[in-house]
Amino acid sequence: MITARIEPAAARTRAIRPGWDLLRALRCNRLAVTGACLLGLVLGCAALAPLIAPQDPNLVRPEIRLQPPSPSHWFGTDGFGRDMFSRVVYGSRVSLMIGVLVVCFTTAAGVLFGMLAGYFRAWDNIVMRVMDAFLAIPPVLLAIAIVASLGPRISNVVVSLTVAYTPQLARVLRSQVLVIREATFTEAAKSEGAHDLLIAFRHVLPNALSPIIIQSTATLAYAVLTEAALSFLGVGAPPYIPSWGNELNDGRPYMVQAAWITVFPGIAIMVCVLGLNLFGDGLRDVLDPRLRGR
Amino acid sequence: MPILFVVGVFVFLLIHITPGDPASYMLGPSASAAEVDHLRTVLGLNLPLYQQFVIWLQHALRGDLGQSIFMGIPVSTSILQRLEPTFLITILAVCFEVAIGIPAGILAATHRNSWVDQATMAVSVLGLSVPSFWLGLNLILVVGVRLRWLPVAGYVPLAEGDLWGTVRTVLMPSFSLGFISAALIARLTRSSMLEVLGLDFVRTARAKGLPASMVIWRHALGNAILPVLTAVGNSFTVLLGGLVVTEQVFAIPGVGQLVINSVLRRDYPVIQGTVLYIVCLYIVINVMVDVLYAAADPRIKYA
Repeated sequence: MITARIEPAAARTRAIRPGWDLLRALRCNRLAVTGACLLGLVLGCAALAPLIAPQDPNLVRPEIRLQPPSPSHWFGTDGFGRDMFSRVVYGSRVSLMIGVLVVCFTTAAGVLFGMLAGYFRAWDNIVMRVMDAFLAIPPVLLAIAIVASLGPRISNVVVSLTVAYTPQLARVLRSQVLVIREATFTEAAKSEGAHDLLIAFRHVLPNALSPIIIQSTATLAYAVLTEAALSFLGVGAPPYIPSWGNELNDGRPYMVQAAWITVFPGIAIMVCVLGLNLFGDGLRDVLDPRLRGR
Repeated sequence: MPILFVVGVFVFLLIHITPGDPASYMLGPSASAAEVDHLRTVLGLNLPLYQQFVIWLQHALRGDLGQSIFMGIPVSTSILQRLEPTFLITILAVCFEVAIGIPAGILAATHRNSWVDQATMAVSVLGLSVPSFWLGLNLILVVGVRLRWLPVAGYVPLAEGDLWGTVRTVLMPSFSLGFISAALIARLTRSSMLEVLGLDFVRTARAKGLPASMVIWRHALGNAILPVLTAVGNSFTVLLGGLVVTEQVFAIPGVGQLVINSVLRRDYPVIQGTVLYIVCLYIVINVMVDVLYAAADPRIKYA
């Protein structure tokens, strides 16, 4: 095997590579552990929603509408008498599902465009100009414009957020790849006659994983925030879906008499994004030791 | 300029990615066939795509972004009408962002690893995790409803001559936007300052007996400000995006509300125009940041 002999030089200089090492290092990082705990809470809610939630999140009971938080309804009830605790718990499913899908698609698209521009330098100018253009449009506005054209459906929210957040990843990856492709081990692989595709995905990409992982955590956080904003504006998930943004939107008319309807979904968003941000900071400390403590 | 062209193509195509016929989609199910036909002719939707684009581009270059379908006035007029509150809130939000973010970052950097540093960074990461519109909602609840210090919603135009009234209406929205961006600026200022504070010239400045405030504000900050400036410039996109939501929360008749109303009314020319307009704004701001760059760093010269 030609490739087996080529040991990536960057791997030796970089302390930690993704894998078990990474997990071990993360366990010692206070930020990452705190973030992981918060994220675990949200993930647990999403996975076990039917077990945790005491009621169907869409069960309408007008006789108990706008009840303040009590032992029977921990987070109170909303304008339709729906149990807010159940709605917030189920909301984690919607937000995380959209977030994770967006991260998968942005990563795939970002890697494609980033490698295309950074490694193959094919259409570098064109690809990056297009990316620059999309970076110039505020993500919320871009997503609104796309959802407005495609119609308010969850799949369209995912599409619009993917378009909005792919350029950032592509840009980060491209700058990283531009450095790696000049590294000695890339040159060595090339001199041994390895195919460009092999070098790109077997040697260059693994060495650019850190920025991809860091950027993806950030994208997940942005996606959760922006999805909430879209639903809040009524151009996100359809109104009958219990997403955190929809719950905030539902609660707005009752804000003065029943603040709990808007307070709890907001706290849920905060816990989720805070977990992601802390975890992301921890990841960056571990993966990019030069930035530690910054 | 290539940015504008790409955005132009995207904005033009927006109208064509609608499911089915754009004209009947815009007018809704209650429109008659004649009305749909009329709109299709007005928008030129009967022509081949490339011809439509050339015509649209020619008009857009002349500043003619078309007519609002719903309001019946030119798009540029409807944007200009609503520019004032948006402009004021953005400017004020950037003031909050800079006035809170930079001092907080400096404070954290100069007290590295103390409780001041940790508290500042904790608030900053919290600020990054809160949706700005939710912060706005809570501000309304506490400052507007409970304390009754500021009006909960609406906007008093400058033309009414009540300057204090205007400021009172834009204070909360701009704070809720500015605070979120300040969190990012504080983190950046801190890391940039930490980098500079470890350099030799700072030690020299200290060694020759300059007062600490002089070292920090003149020597260190002057060199640490560049990345922060870039971030402030970039934060405009985030601010303008957040503004769309925040204007809705505070019921402010600005450009953001115009976008949302147009989306709900499927008034595509207005959506197209506003996106294009905001991107132009972004480009202008970036040019301004470049000029500021040259002012902040005498080494940078633009030919």
